[in-house]
Amino acid sequence: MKGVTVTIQQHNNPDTVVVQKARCVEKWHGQGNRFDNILIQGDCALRNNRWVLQTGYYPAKLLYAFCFSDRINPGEANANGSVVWLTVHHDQLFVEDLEYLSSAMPNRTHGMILCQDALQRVQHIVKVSLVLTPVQLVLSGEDTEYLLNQYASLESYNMIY
Amino acid sequence: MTTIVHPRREPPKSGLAVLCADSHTSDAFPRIASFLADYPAQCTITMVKSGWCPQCEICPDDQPGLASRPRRRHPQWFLYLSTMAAVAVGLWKFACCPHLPDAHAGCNIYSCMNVDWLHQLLKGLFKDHTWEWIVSFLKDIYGQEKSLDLIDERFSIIPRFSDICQFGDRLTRVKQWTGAEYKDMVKVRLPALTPRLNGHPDHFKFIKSVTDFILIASYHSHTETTLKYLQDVLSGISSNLHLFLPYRKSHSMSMIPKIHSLLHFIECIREMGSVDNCDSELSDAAPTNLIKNGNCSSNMVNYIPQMLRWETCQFHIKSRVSILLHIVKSDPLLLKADICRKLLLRNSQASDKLSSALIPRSSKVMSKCTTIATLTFPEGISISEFNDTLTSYFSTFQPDTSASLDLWTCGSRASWILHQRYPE
Repeated sequence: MKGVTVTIQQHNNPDTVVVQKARCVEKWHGQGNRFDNILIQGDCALRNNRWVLQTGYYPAKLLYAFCFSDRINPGEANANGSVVWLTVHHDQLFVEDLEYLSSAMPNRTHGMILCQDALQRVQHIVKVSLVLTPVQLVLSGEDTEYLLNQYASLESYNMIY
Repeated sequence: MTTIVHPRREPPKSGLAVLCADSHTSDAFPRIASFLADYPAQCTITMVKSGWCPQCEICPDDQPGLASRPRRRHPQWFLYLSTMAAVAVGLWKFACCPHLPDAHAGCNIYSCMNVDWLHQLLKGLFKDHTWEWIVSFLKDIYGQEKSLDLIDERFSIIPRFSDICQFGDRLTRVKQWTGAEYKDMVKVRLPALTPRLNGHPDHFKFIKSVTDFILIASYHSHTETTLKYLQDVLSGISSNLHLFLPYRKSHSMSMIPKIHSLLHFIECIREMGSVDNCDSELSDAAPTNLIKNGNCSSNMVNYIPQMLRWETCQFHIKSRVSILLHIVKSDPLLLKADICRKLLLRNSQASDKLSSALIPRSSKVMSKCTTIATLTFPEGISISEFNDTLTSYFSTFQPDTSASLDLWTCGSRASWILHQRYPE
């Protein structure tokens, strides 16, 4: 897989869906690598008074997407008496976590949420179903510091406060 | 104006025979409920002088007046006004013109003037005014040439994202923009300008309020809460508008009907529904879809019959595609759905609509499978330990990302093979 597609209900017409894409490809028609960012559903920090932390939305860099095929024995045998194996596919992602700045509090000057590359890289595997939406991170002018652009689409505008 | 309103003068009195969908004929009494037009056309139809608001009696010198509550116009008052008194409230009154209440019998034509998201917000508020003021403000801070380069530099580093176009590094040199590009600029303007406006929180608050207003106004449905949000951001615009006074030639915010019209958005949404129902974007796009594309499809000789035939074909294709999509969506696993899917994939336009979610895994043809690693884990490994081991493996692994990665079990959970599959 070269990335993930997330199907979101269109805000202005709930009967139709928008398919948003996040890629993780090394070679594409542009220059350089293209590792898109995604917003994943993590654990909710209920005691925190920040919206994104309450809801458990965390930004992450999408590094690889792969299919995980497991063979399980459902406890059945065929006519010959041999065991029937069932192959189950799981779409998985290998992601690198980004961390919020100022506890995900909107910046006082511009009101946008900032995040940055973690000082200590945290990479892990998550299920595709945990991906909420692709997210646009724009360099804030400082190295490794990004602005979480909630204006990128009406759907993300309603998701990120 | 008499020509425009004439067909609507008689039906309110006698009724108009209309064939209904149930094949019965009914008497209809049509009224103008909503009128969508640009500002000059609104002035013409309501006989309001240029610079005045077609909906309320606010004086152009008192505009934008976003914090005020000016009196709404009413056609009955027009009857009792003398010519001089009409001029004082910004109305034209001529002996040769029909009386306004009579011409628009049964409706208050001033209240029917609807707001236009494309022309008033995107083109008017966003591009013609706010954008120009910000560029002028940045020129004051960074200098004439450097400011343009700085803006271009910021817009050029905006990463790609779904449905947002790339602006390149010559954004400020482009003279004409389309409606789609205005929309994309709204989406990226705030993060793009953030580092350039450091130390000017009020200016930033104004831009943020404008962006919020444009986005909230585009909602398909509204509640009292969203209308309150709209009122709040309108207050934000109103309180910071004075910051850009130096960038107006007249050093005043008066005589800008498009900014004053923000005041009428909330009441128009309450009376006539959400703004996306009456956006002039569709009517503006009609010449492109119906005339230009049809003309390009013809051989330019006796093109009108060819254009009509082309439009008929497009209509048939659309209806066929919608039927096929309906079959695929209703039960994607049926054999019939598979045939429909193949037919849809032949059509380049339809294949875009057929999202990958509707294509079953078996139909993705992959080949050239190569094994790149065999991973061995101890027997009885827990899921969390398995994930940790896999994570540490991927941290040091550089796969060819043009291929897809498959991790297969070899009989037991202790041994796994990592494949790379290349598409055919």
